[in-house]
Amino acid sequence: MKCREVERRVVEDYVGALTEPAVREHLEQCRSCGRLASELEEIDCLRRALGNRTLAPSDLPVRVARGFSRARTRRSLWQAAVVVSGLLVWSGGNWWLDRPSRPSPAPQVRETRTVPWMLDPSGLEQGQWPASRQQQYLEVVVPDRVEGSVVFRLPTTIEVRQEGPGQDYPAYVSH
Amino acid sequence: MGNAAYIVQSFLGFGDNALVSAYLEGNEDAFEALVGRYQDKLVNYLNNLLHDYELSVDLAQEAFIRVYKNADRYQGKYQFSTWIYRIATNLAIDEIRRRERKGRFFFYNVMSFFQKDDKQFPLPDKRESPEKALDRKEKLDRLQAAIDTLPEKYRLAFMLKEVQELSYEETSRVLDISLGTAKSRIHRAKMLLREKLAGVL
Repeated sequence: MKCREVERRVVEDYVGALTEPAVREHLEQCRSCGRLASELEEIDCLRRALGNRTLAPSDLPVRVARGFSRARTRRSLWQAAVVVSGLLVWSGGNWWLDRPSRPSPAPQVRETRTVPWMLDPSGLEQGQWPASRQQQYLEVVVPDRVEGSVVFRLPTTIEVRQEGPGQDYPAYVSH
Repeated sequence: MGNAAYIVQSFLGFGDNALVSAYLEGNEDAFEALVGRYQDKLVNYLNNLLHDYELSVDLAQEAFIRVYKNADRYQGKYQFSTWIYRIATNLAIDEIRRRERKGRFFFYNVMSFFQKDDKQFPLPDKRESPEKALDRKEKLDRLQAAIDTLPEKYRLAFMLKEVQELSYEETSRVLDISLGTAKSRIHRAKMLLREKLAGVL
């Protein structure tokens, strides 16, 4: 057995290596490996003692229990904080949904004429303009959070009057 | 918590995983048995690394509290000892880094060399004469001082495998390194110690 292999085995497991006859035989013959083994033996004995050098204080279980109760208290506080936060979020959400609406943008009003020709009277001769009251609607578009917008159609009337010559379009008045 | 010694005795036949399972099922005494089983090992391990007994006790306590809080995440894939040593090692590394940042580690080493450490309790061997006991204590102090001068990666590996007597596999898991790396670090640590202690022991 070569020195390198003996060194590897002795360093890895001193006690185990000594149970191997080949290792023991090599250690008896090789002075360098024998010295290594004796030094490792000393370290091996001492390191075991190092493992039992310090003992825990007798009240450590009590300290740990105290730490548990603190941990439990902290956990309870966290749980309470989570519940309170949840309640706050929930009530805040309700308030947000039920809050008085802010003034909506002004409704857009657009006029819808039911008489197509009124849109483009230019195709008529001036004398053909009727002087009558026509039923019309006002479309009121109100913005809405849910639907986007709601359209109301309000009936109204329009009075078309024929003015004198020289006027291109009829004047009308909505009510 | 009840009578610690009695509880540890009453769970003597239980493995660590069985104790964790019993604790998760609501048996608080099972957890106390785990504390009783590991308290000396952890305090000793931390004190050998940090040389501050009160701090070591505090960190051991913190390790148990972390286990207590996260026991439901323990899957039993690895040994319980691997888990708790890993927590303790991380706490020790944090403390070592904190000291290094503050430049106090050297100060601690120097002070511990000169101070008589009242908090250490070498177990007396009743067969030893006082002279032999004193000689043994001196040798232990020299070994400890030599270990303290090892680079951190070798020191941790040596402490876990040789002082705490974990297996190579457990040591590699605690340090989150491969088995080969663990073996190599322990080998290197022993050879460095041998060099440092040559002619001293």
